[in-house]
Amino acid sequence: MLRKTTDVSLVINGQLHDLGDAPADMHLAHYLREVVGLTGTRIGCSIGECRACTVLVRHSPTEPPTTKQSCMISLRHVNGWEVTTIEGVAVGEQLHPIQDAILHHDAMQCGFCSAGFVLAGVVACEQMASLEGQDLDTVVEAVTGHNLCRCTGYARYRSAITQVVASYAKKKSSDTPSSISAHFGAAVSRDRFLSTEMPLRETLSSDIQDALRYVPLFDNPLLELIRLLRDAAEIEHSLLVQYLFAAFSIKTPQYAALAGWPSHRYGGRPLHVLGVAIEEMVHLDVVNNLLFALGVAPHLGRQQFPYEQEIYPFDFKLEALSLETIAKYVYVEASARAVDPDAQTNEEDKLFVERLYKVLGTTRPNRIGSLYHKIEAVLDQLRMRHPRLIDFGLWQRRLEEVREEGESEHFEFFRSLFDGTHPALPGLEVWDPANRDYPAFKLSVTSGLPLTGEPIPHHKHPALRHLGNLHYWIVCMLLDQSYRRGGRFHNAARRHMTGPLRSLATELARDGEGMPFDVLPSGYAPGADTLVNLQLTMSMLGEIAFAEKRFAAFLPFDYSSRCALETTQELRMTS
Amino acid sequence: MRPEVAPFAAESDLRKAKITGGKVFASDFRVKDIAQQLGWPDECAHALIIRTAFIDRPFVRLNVERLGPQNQPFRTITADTLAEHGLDNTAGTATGAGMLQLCPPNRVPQYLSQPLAILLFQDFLTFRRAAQELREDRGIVSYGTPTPIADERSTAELLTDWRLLIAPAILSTQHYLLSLSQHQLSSQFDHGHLRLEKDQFTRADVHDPVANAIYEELLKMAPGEFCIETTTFTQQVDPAFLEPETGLAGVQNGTLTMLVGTQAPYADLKDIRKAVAAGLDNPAIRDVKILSVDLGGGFGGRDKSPFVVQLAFAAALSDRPVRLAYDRFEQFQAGLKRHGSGVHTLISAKPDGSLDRALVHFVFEGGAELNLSTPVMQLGALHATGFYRFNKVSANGVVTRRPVPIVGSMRGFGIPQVVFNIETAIDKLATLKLNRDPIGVRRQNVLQYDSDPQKADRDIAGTPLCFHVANAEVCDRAAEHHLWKNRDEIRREGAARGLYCGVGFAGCMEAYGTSGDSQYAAVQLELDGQITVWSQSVDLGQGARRSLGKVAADTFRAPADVSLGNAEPFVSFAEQLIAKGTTYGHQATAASKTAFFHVHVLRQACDALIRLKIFPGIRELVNFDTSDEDLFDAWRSDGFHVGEGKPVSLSTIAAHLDRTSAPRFAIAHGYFSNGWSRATFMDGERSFTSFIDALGFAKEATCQATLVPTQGDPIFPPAHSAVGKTRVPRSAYAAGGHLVVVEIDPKSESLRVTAAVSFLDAGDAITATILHGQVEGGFQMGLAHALFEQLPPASGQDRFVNFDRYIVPRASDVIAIDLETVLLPLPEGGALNELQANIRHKGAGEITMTTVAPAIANAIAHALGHHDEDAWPSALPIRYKDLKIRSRPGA
Repeated sequence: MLRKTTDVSLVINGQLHDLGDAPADMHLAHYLREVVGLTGTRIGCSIGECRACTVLVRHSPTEPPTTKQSCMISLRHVNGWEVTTIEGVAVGEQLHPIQDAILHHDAMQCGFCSAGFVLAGVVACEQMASLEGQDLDTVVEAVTGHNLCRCTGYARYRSAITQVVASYAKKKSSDTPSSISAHFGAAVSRDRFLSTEMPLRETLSSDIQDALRYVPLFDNPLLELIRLLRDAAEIEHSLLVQYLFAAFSIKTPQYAALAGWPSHRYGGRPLHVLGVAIEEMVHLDVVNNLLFALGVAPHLGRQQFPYEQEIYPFDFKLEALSLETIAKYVYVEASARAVDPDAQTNEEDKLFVERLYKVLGTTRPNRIGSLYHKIEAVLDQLRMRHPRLIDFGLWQRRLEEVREEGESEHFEFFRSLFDGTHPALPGLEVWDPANRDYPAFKLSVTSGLPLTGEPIPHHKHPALRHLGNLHYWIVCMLLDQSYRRGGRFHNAARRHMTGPLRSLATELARDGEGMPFDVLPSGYAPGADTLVNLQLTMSMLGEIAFAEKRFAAFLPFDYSSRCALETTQELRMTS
Repeated sequence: MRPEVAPFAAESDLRKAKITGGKVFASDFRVKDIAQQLGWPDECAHALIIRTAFIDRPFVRLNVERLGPQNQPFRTITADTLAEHGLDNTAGTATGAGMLQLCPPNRVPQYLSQPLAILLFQDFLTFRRAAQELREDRGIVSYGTPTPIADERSTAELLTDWRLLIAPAILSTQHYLLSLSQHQLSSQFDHGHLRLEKDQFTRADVHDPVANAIYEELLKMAPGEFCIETTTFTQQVDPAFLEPETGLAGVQNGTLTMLVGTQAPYADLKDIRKAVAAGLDNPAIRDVKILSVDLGGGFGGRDKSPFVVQLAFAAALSDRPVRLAYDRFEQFQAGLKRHGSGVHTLISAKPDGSLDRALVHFVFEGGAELNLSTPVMQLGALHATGFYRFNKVSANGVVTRRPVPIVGSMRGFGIPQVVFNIETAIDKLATLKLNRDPIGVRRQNVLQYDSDPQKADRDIAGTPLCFHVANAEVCDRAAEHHLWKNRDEIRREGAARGLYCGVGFAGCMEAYGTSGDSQYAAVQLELDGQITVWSQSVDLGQGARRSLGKVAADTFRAPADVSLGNAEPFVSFAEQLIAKGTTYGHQATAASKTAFFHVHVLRQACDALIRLKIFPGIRELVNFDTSDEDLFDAWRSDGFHVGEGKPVSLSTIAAHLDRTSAPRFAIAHGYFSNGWSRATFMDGERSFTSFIDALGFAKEATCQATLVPTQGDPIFPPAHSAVGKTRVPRSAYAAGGHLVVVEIDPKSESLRVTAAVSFLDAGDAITATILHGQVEGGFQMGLAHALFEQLPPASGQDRFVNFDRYIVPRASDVIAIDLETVLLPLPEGGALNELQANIRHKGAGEITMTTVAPAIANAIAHALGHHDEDAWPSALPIRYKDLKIRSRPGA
């Protein structure tokens, strides 16, 4: 689904850029280089790993900036950001002290990475200046430690940057970080929670209620909408986790094209499982952002697997990719019509539906698609009552996109797997478990939660499960925080998901073990207010650091322990 | 037709541009940046290469229609398209290997990731979206029925065969056999090139019973009291330079112009001309020009890369300029790689510790034959016995051809693979068989140079080492270093903390340059008194621009601008030399040769301009006859303090030369093969002797240079012995080594380097920070090779490799290592001894990394107590789980 970005503006090097019709599938680095012409932001890997593309982002005038990997950030996530690129660091001929120091130390060789080091160094300076008592080396490592240089031994970069950052530590920032900036919050009117004079059940036309086989639970459309959106959030979250689990079960490199990879996606429907999972994360974003726009807390909760939603005719649980699980995915993504045996008009579709129900062992119709129809209908009712409450047109469009992506793109993708027509598959026969080219590992799932009072056993699998859970939980906590702050932690959440979590899950899969994705019993925003939640998120990052140390012997080779450190520093700078 | 390579950005120091967002690299430029200059339109097409994911089935056709309707290319270029337009699909491939750049339809692709087609898109977004769809594989490539192919034989199996000298005849091989035995002398230098024909060795194409007898004798070697057997394996490595290959190209008024950053623009130019049949069968392209820009890293991986040929094809068949920009996934999938290897050695010593015999067989894992795979293997063979003197040696190398992405040139050029083996083997021999200090055994056996060839030791090709190489000094300095002296204390201290700690050393000597190096340089005194330098070098991060600029600035006491990657003014000058009948090549290679090669010829050009034009100009200006030496003494940054008046500035001299139509521009050519060429030039009455073979002057750079006549013919050192008649493969070597401390933590199952010392025989630093930067960067790359890098086994098929899975060191992996550098001074005679040019610098870019891995392996063996031969890791990358830990720390 190609979207147009009509509602995003950002500041780049002091200039306001209204993105207008800029394509939402473009990432920030390409926008800077190809549209604005700022080619000093260089791209080395396109997956946020090398950090050549680092830009400085200031979310609030009262907070120090943070680094962002511009090659991984879709334009739809940058609304309201204030971005500084390498072209905006020097003031005229006056270089920033970090630039001066890099020159003075002769730190660079080929220099392709140097813009990224400069921006990271500048961010480290401002972060160091913003808070007293920080450890200099920790700040420098957290902010600049992931930047990749292939030519040098890093020592000159490190000493140049550290020397300058140290000088910033002496300056006490005069700005006192304030509470969360108002512009991130949604301006909603107080009367949105009041009972309406016109009960929803009466105003929602009987035609719609009949068509959707739906009777609202509440007469207040806002209450009803919140209920439905939280249902949708749970479903999207569950799908995200399930698809991630499935993606990690796929054998690589043989089926790498099917498993997918973590780069920014351009346009079109995804043809790999990780791509679908990432789109589910976008769906989760839409639902939670709408909740927050309505003045309601984001919802990252979901039930522990396996659970049986009344909406599904089967258990929903973590499973490796197989014909049976694909049948479930086809079913949950389909529109009601697409899997209605009576609605099929050609022989091919009839056979497909017949096969599908045979594999599923049920004939109950799908209701997932109709959930979004219900949400759209109730949203429409809310608009009639409070036309200025939110930008209804915008949210309707976004919800339509979510629905269409599921019903058309995801459905078609999973159907191509089910039919064996996906280009990565040699044919339908590959789903025979006896086939030597069977695409996935068979994974067993064991909870990573120890029995009450028991320690995490000091063995590889329990250790990796626990660490994987910690990263999963931090993804959820970051997303919760991010929805409340204009998406500023999405980059970090994705970093944990496609970095350490991927690494751990892949290692477990090699041993026939699945990542459990256990639900955190205490929830992802247990604090009384946003600042407490922020601190609790940092505490969870601390848990990762402890676990990394305790289980160091079991960590996969491509596991990055810099990830938690970097995120901690980013959160520390958030007020 | 006059091909041209020209610099696009000519500043003496682009560092500031690199940290302020200036346009430096090929990936920074857009068509609009050069459109006006070249008469191009403002918009360009975007090229995307479709590559095969299979080698067991024919590529049948493209189904481009399967891309989304909005994402369609406006042009599809296949091998058939190239043929229709008379373009040469074999350009840029190795001669005789039968390789093609693009696999034609209905043929089985020759290697994984071989291009099948080039698609051209109207705009960037369409290109990116199509690229996404293609990567996600919407089935736009139709393949035929798979045919089962035999499983690839492992390197270990190939090595087993090769130890019996069994290998397919198509493969490139290299054999060196050296015997110093008085009754059984044999060497390439003395007796000619060694080949294997029908299981028998020939020398200079004649059956050689002596060589065969020596080989038979060596074959009888077996592990024993003073003989050690070592088999090692090293992994394939990606150069991982940070800027993926990128370029712009367009045809305007019959000229194909390409803006690229490559390591060998001259070799590329030749391939591009062949590719587009420029000036031959292609009326649309009469001329080819390269705009050369700095590289975002190279490490050998951009030396004759097929990328430029692909870009040329795209531009030649497009109606507008084209941009081809790999992303990192494509770079991993298609870029050049360093060979993996399997090396087997048997080495023996006499009871007194002197090395006696060595038998080496090694297999390099080649890929598609499109690069420098054979020369890499050959250089590996020349270094197979390290920097040691053996009485009898046989080294036998073979490089395979596999249907995987291109394997070829990369930093180290075949030497790290063999040095990993020989340096761990020597360590084992010294420790386990001789019960001696490993550095002591090395010191006893290292090759020694001497300007008298009769006294000099010989390298494995039998070439007397007449030029300086500090093998002995490296060992001496390492042996006296406190880390080595205290190694057992370090081990004990680690054990007290529950850690296995050890200290290891490895050394080697490494040739620099090629077997025949042709270099040009030119210099001009500008009217404002500043200096402009032209060089054929390119800057890939090694500091070529700054080094050349500093040499010129120091020489003239004036600011110097450096223009790299030039064809002109050199092409015109070369034409004059060719017309005179010179036989050496005129296309300089550009890789890592600044200090010894390019700087030397530049210095000679500067010296000629100063002595033959600038000094006479001063004498005319002040009407004051004084010697060159006095003028040098009188030279300050504000000019020449001669006579009573104000100093005579360079701008005053330049104005005088210009007014009198005297030359301000000098151009020189030098050739190095077993020594620099030399000539005495007659400039009017004045003679000038220099270690160059051609010199020209012109009023300024845009004018045709006039060749200065020589007194007699230029002298070229003999490139081969009178007897052997085989070209000396290498004669100039630098020595180096690393001392490394490792710490192994059994609790966290981690292995890390805590301290290291780099010993380097690089000569005098031109810019100290650049040289130290090379040492630090080389160490990091050596560490990466030893402990980090590992490509997925099916490289080329797995098109999703990126830095999330291909792990290279980050700052925290390196900066905690206490790295010390020990630079070894050159003797008074310089790198080449008193009979040759006194050169104070050596090539150092590669040796800084070569010995890191074996030093780590030797340190691990020390840490583990040298319990047995398998205390030494035998495969790279070294992983904790592969260590053979047999006892508690310190035991």
